[in-house]
Amino acid sequence: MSKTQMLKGVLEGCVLQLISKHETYGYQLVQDLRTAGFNDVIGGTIYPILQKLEKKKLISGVMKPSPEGPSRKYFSVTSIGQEELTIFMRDWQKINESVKQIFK
Amino acid sequence: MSSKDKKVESIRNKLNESAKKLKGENATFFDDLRDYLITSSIFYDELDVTEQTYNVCIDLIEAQENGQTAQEYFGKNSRRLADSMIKNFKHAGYREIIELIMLPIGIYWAISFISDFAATGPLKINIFEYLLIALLSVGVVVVVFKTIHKFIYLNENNLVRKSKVIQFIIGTIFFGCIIGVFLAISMLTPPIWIIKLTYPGDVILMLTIIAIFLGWIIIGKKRELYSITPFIVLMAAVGILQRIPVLLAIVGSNNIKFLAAGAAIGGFLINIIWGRIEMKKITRN
Repeated sequence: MSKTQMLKGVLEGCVLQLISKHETYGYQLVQDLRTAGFNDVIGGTIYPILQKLEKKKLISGVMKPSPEGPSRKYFSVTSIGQEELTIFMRDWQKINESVKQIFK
Repeated sequence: MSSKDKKVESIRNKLNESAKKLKGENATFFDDLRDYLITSSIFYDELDVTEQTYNVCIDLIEAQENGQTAQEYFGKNSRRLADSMIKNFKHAGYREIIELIMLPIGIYWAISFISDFAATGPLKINIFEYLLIALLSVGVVVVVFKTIHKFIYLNENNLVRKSKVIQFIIGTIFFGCIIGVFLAISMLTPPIWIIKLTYPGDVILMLTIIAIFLGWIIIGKKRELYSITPFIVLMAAVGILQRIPVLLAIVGSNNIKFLAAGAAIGGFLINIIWGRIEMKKITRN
């Protein structure tokens, strides 16, 4: 199984978690994910995830002037997104424990 | 112009300004991506498409400032990125879709109507011909958009992408065929449903249409239609002139032919020159 396939579902939750910590934008998100160890993550993966999360109303984007220069879209988590994040964390913990059990 | 249109225009202007900061292969990467997104987005929400494209551009500029190339930041397969973004675009509302469909139909209907109106005798409108024109004009727009869309990410060694001469030949053949089909429709459509209008009904109808058309263009600031407006107004004016007996007597029935030819040539030249200036502005942007 390729790493990309394994990451597919997890990445959405990670993006949601990062946005819930502070308002952020596409480029910053990619950098944060890379810093966290997702070295292979590229912008090409993140933009469709942001669009999908926004479509599901889990995050909302607002155009704001950035300190570095031009205005850009900053994302924050909505109340529906917070609920979704809680469910993701619970599900992830269960999966993580099960996987650990198997690989013990 | 609606508040949404104003917003789209404002973001598009910012996008054009920002894109100038991209250099070398980053600029090429972004230009291809932008063209691909825009040509695929006829039935998607224009604001969403423009806003997403702008965000990509701003992020790419930041990546460039931090020493990353577009490929390093977005990944090598820009087409895949574009396709995934397109899948998630919001769909356009019914009003936007209708407006988009009605724009080419309106232009071709206006040209056909003007040519019917400029002909001598009572005004005859062949409804079946207008329906065929509507179908063809929408088809032309869809085919043109789809062709440009497919063309953007053609292999660099592809003959069509490499050779400007081949592009020109294909373009000329395509538009030649389209003009041929339009002429065939206008000449061969059987007179199944004909509406006949005599003076003064024909002149009143024309004046009403011209008033609505000009109002729509001026109030809606339809810049893309500014260049064709003098042609339509001049042809309509000649048509009106020859249908009002008093005015026709003043001008003379022989002179009206020269006037019609002058209006057609003058309007056409204004359209070409003005259109080119507008195109240059768009290309510069």
